[in-house]
Amino acid sequence: MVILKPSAANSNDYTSGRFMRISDLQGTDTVANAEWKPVVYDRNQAKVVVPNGTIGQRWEAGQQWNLTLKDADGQAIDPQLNITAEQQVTIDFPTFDADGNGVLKRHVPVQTVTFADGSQRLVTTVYELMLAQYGIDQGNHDQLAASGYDDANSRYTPAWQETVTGVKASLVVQIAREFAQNALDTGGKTMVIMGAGINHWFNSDMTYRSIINNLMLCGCEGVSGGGWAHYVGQEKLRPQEGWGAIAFANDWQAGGARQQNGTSFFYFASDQWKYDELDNEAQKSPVSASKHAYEHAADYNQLAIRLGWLPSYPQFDRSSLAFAKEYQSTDINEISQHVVDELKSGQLHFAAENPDANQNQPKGLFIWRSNLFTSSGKGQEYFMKHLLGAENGLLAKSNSRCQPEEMVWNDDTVTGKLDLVIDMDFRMVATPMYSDVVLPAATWYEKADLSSTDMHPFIHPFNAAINPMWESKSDWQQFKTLAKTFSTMAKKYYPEPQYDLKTQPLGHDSKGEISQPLGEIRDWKKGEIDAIPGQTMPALSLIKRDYTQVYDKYIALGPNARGKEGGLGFSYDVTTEYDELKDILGVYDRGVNAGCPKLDQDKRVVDAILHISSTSNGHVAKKAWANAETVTGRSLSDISAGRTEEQMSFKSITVQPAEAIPTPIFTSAKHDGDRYSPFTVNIERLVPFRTLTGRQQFYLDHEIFQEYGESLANYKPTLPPQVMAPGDTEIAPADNELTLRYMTPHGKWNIHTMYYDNLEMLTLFRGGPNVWLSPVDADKAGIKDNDWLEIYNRNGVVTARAVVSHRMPAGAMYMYHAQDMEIQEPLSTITGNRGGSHNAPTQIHVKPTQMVGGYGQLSYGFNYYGPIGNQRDLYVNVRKLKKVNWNED
Amino acid sequence: MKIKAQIGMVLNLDKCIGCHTCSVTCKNTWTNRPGAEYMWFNNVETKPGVGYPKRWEDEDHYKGGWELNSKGKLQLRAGNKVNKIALGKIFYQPDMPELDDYYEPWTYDYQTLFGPEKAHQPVARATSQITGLKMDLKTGPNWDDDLAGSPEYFKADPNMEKIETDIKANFEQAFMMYLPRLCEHCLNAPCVASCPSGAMYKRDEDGIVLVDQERCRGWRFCMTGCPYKKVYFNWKTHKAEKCTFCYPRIEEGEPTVCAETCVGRIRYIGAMLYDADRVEEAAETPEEDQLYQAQLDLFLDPNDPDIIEQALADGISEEMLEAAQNSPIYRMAVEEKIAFPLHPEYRTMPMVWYIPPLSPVMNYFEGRDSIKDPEMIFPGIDEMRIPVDYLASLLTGGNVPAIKGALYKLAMMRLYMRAKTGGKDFDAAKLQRVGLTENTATSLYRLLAIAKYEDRF
Repeated sequence: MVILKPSAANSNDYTSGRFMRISDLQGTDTVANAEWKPVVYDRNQAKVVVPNGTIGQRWEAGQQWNLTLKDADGQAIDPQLNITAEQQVTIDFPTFDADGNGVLKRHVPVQTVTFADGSQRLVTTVYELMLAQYGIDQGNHDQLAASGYDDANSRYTPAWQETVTGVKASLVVQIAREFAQNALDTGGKTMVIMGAGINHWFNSDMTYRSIINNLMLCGCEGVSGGGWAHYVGQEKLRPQEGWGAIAFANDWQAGGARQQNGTSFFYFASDQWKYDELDNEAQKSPVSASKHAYEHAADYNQLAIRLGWLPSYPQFDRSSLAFAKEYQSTDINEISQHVVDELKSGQLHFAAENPDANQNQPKGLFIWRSNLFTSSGKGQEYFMKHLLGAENGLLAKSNSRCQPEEMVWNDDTVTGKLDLVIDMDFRMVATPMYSDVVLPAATWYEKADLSSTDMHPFIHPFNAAINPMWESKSDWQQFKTLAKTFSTMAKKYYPEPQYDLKTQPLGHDSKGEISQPLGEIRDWKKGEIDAIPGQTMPALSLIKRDYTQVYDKYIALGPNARGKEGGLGFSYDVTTEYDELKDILGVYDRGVNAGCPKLDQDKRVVDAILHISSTSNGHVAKKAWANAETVTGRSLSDISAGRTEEQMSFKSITVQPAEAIPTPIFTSAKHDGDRYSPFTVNIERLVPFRTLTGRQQFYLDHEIFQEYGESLANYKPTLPPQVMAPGDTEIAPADNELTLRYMTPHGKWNIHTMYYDNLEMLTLFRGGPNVWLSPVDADKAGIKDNDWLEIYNRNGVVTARAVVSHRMPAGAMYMYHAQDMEIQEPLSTITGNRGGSHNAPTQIHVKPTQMVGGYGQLSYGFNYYGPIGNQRDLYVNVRKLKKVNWNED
Repeated sequence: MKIKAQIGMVLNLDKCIGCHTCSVTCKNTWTNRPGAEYMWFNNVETKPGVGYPKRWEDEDHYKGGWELNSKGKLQLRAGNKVNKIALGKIFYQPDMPELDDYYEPWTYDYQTLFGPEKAHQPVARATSQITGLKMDLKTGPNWDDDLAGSPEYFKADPNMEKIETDIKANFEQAFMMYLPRLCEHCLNAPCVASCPSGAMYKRDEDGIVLVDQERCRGWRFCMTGCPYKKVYFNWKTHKAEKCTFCYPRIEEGEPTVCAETCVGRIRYIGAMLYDADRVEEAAETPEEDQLYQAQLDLFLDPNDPDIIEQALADGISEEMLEAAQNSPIYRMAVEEKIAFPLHPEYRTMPMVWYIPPLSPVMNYFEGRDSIKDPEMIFPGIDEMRIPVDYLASLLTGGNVPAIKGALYKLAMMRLYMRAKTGGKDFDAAKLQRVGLTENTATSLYRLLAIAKYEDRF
């Protein structure tokens, strides 16, 4: 149920606010986690109740947290979708169009509820809100509703969408019916497989939610063979616990690693925030105002950092090793108090508030197998200029007209922030070319390793066919060598243990996800609430680091791995498995790692990962399900029961790759050879979703979602066309220049960075950089197939050859991913420099709604959450390259 | 009757995704060496398109394959070798593709990337693998991939000139399909017939066509003679080379590299028995659109006791006989008639066959009404984006009903399986109408859709 609030657009109208909770009706002292328990109206008891399964029960001791429809007293409930209407009110929905924002008036039935504080509030249900938004007439000749599918004047009808997309209304209706009929006929086996393309748009989450809403409405989610399937960009490792323990050294020091969402990091580090020209106001709802509103997206990121929503490293404008020394204490409580005091008094700042300050710049960058500077880094020329200080084609000027309020603006341009770049790769592509040190990496055919994703049922090994060529080494051996040298050096530079103060955002699947109630922002910096680490700001921890021991710890599985481990909020004991590993791998007999299983060789690492992970060791899976049963009170152990005796090892999966064992840290309840099917454990077995309500949500009520008009899935157009911004470098016009939408999709051979630029793959197409455009556009600009083109916008320039094809729609240009600039890339006539890669004309725009934290499913998790690096809402100018100058001098 | 055994291949174009894995693994295995740089024993073409070498299907230009003379007898289109030698034409081959019809193979000057500091970032430029000079790239072996350069290459597909359907090259109606190609290991191989040195030969035991490198004198008649342009000239050794059907693997009971590595599991390999005495007669069938049927009629039923007896008498091994009895090729080509030879009008009796692609029409006939009315597939197939007469031009010498029969069958199989999976009734009479039963539809589904390794090879 949702509370209505006055519309900011029309004084007599309402708009939807936040979910109603039990705390609205009863004192927070009488019900545990009352502010985290959204309510439904139960038809059986004819009253408002809390169903089991919400995030409130999740973090309530002694509760059996599951989705059986019962209330706190164990009474079966029958939640009402519609509301028993006492009256109808006019509700304002925010609308977004290319030519401006607007208000959509609809009628919605409401009830009046008396709250605990005595106030009378209007409430309705999410279902009623959705019917109202889509203009569905509920049989009372509603003048504000649509007259039918063919009512083009009523928003969200098939006829209306035709005016936006050009797709015929009749076709939309037909496909919708088939989609639903198939779900009806098959019990929900209608599936949508979403590729990476959607993720690359600024408002892609609106598209995502719309598609998933369709699937939810047709009962397809959590059905084997139906629902939402993804193909790119959300991969998770299967043997997760063992991998996580070793990769982030949690076996020696839990939570010692700093992990950040890449988009925010590079948005600030490469200074793209200073060039951001996006009009955020156009993205905001006219019907819902927020007193925490900002104009600049970077300000929302600052808010997210200081309220503990998103991580940000480096964390403060002071070395993280300095605090214990400065405060002369190793007591975290004492240090925390000092930190809070200094933050509030303005003596200490988050580093991200001033990314250009010398002490806040990243100085060393270690790139492990990513072609960061061209293929992966969106906004290539910003990386080239600000991080590397290299030749670049950046045509934009920093945008002092739009300065963040919460950041230090510096008119000076800082270039070349990085002092040292180390790259590990086996190809001489752009990133190694711009690195100070290149560590030659072994390929898949030269090493032992593991391969798995949640999209493929099997866990595969890599086995070396040949030894690594020349000086190259496997990744494990590379880092081992580095660890050894580092530890040796530490004996001179850091002979004593150091105390490292670490900030950590409020984490998903931890109690941190119920830190900031009601989805209302309380900013300690504005004095709205106390600064409390781990609650209203990032958590603080003090980590003792002995750098002289890094190598000894690296080559052994540390004692922290002996005990509890888990994932997705489940926890189970692997002491037995740890002790078994001592026999399997052998142990060291002296020093800091005495008694610890050996991890000196690649295969041993694989064995350790497989042995302590629930996807690869049936005993661990059994324990994991047992814990899930305790947490949820549901019978679940049968899911992996048939596989209890399975214990994968490097040797066993070399003989025969094995199918991952079902485990509660993934959401598939499938067993006995059934394929992995996400969310079946939630739908079939009633294990709650990790959301505020414990259920799939059509509605998101956080203040920022209301501010941006995205509480319900909504239509938002792509960002407005822009090639150059005012104040950018002026480019002399050329004849026949075209402006086209610029997209960098995955090609059929080149997903992201790798392996397109070998001789065979390049021979099997056109041998160098190319862009696709339609014959219609090509004709307009006098372009012929295979002509050299120059493509630019404020972010940079790329030179490439034209591929003219009627497979392309008019108005759009493709430059397939991962066309690097070290192959066949001539100079640009505009910059006089080497043209860039496919990423040269791109930049990052960050979306504030994707930064919310400390709030249910909207909480930070590594490789899970944060603003996306979208780069599709971009336009370029295209012209023929007058002179092809290779300039090899 | 003289029974011979032949290894053949079927490629299910309905499932080809154009990834070129077959091409790459083939190249790495066979032609990754000096003199062979431009050779792709296996390549994948986007259709409509010009292919590799360009417009290889234009036999008016390349003069490949066979034609019938005024007496209705087979003769090489390029002229027979005796005449050529007699007229002194042996020393030049005017009808062969030239380097630009293939492409000038290149590599990159990668060492530049390791050079000293320069004014601008260095780039590895294309250099010719033939001359060593810098190159301006203008063509390659897959230049029109995915309809690239379609204003130039789409209509230049020789098949487009032969069909009546007007195919529009616009975005709304865009269509394409992939055609992976290798040597056809023809029953009536014009390359073998062309060779003045007796170097080209067809292996007795399995029909694989090979070049004896000792005997080849580099006359290159084979290159002109092959209408598929699948014999190449090694410019280092000056000898002919071609797809070997990975005979060292076949001899060990393993599939070819292209088939083994196919990501989409589209390739099937199997043995066929045929009557060698009737090949010439079949190839002399006057009507081009009857050549497909004439070739079908050559194949012998490997389960017929008389055929088995005669085959053993003709020296066919028991192993080969068993392979013929379990052959997925026989099942698809002869029993189900869903696979077709590539350009039978060349009269070569090719042995790499193709199942025509169906997918682009599925939206139309799997629509809301189609469950109620499977009849919708019949008009649906007539309105495919890949027109049936285009497919007929590729695969049946213009025999449209044969193509339609296969597509109806494939479509009905899908409808049947869809109903079965969804627990719905399906009128068996509808299966009968396209020559299927519930059992054959189910086993065909297993063969085509599940395509297990053991079933494909």
